[in-house]
Amino acid sequence: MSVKHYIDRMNLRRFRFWFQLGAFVLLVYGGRVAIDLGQSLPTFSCGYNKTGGAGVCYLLPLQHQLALPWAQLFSPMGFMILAGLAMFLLWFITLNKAWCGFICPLGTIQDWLTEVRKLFGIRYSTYSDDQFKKLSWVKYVFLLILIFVPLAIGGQFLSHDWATPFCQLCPARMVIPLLNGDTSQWIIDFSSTGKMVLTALGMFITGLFFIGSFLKKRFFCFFCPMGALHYIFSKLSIFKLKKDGSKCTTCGDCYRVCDLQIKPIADNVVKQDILMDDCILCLKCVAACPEEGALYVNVLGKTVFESTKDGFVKRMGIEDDK
Amino acid sequence: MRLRLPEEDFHTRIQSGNDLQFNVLFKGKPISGGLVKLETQKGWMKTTQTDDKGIARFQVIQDNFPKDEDEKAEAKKPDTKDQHGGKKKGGWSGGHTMPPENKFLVTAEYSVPETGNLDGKAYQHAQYSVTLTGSYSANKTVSESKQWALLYASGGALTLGIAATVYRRRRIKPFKEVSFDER
Repeated sequence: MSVKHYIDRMNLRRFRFWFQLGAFVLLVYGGRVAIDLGQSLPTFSCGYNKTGGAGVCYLLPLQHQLALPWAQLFSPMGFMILAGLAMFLLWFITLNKAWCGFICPLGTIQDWLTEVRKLFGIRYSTYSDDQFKKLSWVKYVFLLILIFVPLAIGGQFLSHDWATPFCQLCPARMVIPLLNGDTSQWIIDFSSTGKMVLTALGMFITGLFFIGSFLKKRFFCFFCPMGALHYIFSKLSIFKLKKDGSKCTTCGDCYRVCDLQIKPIADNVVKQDILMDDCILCLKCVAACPEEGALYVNVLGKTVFESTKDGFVKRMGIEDDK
Repeated sequence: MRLRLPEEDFHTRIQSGNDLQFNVLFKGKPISGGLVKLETQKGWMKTTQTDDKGIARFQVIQDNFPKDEDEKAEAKKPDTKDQHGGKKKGGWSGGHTMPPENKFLVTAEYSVPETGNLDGKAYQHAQYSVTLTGSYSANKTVSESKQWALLYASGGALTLGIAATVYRRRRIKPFKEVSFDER
């Protein structure tokens, strides 16, 4: 049996669980053993996790850099933003949005909350098509906030009290340091109006995060600006999710297993590059597809994992006819 | 020189209530019994002596409160140009709504028996003096609340929990028996 055949038949659920656990331990506790992966990681390795963080989410330094006084920002010093972006892209192109589906610690926590919900036998929530359309732009609003609010600070239109606005709203700031026993982020800062508004909203969103992730699979990923930023650069990645529409029967299995409820994965039989902005590249759609080669993962033009009847039968625990 | 605070890093700022330690060296060696004075921007001062390891200790006073009269006056100052030529808002640098920093000055003095001649006058002792400046801000605990944070987080959790429960209940259609008269 070839390696490729073995991969196509693998238990993706088990592989993903162990991969996520390893990435979680590395990013949340790796700093305790002096691991430092830099400040441009394309995932929520929270920079506020000072005791255990093994690297910093790119959104934190990006907001700091964009808040430079304009005289500095639009000078040769501004090239450091491009250097940070280049480093972010170097990390990003390796795995594309699989940074979300396999590595993001906040995403892993959401998956674990989903497992807890299953233990209680509570059914999961879904969005209606209308709700999906209405909410899908929220991540782009967060992306605009994290770009333009720091720029307004640098231009002296806003005070530094509004610094790192997205980090103040992001639940990772509260949740990830907490895993190292650090409760310093669980505060409302009343020192100024800006800080009070941001920290209060941050705490409110943290409350939403816990209940939302318990009821809805990957609740926060739908609103994540990192996902939106990933999508902008996704075409540059060497890791691609593709679809051969001629082999698809639009049975909808891929849609039903999708945590993010991405409908085009089943409906669209024209587009080959099927990666959508909400996708977290968890590859559950590939594993759930029963059609030979209808969905596949391509790395540098080579197919490394694809849907097969054989793999589908094995994963479903169905006795083969043979 | 100032010794680092526990777990001090690039982002650490000295706050009121911090225990500061200054190591006083003379010709590379710590001196004991040297006089060290810390004076804040607002006029508070304290003098102490270095211990056997040449270390003087101070706890930074809490004298940095919001809406202080001085700060109000500072905030009313007209806009000026900053060091990069950009417009700088009146008041505290960076446009903070609270004063981010007050300054302090540390002065260490040490007298040693030393003979010599200065401007034609012989002397028996030499007085050495060194200064160091720093800044500090109000202690964060003054303006932070964990209770309110938990209240807001609970508010978020309860809001979504109740909304989801109500939404689910409203979508349950009551059982309705449908019978057909096939005669």
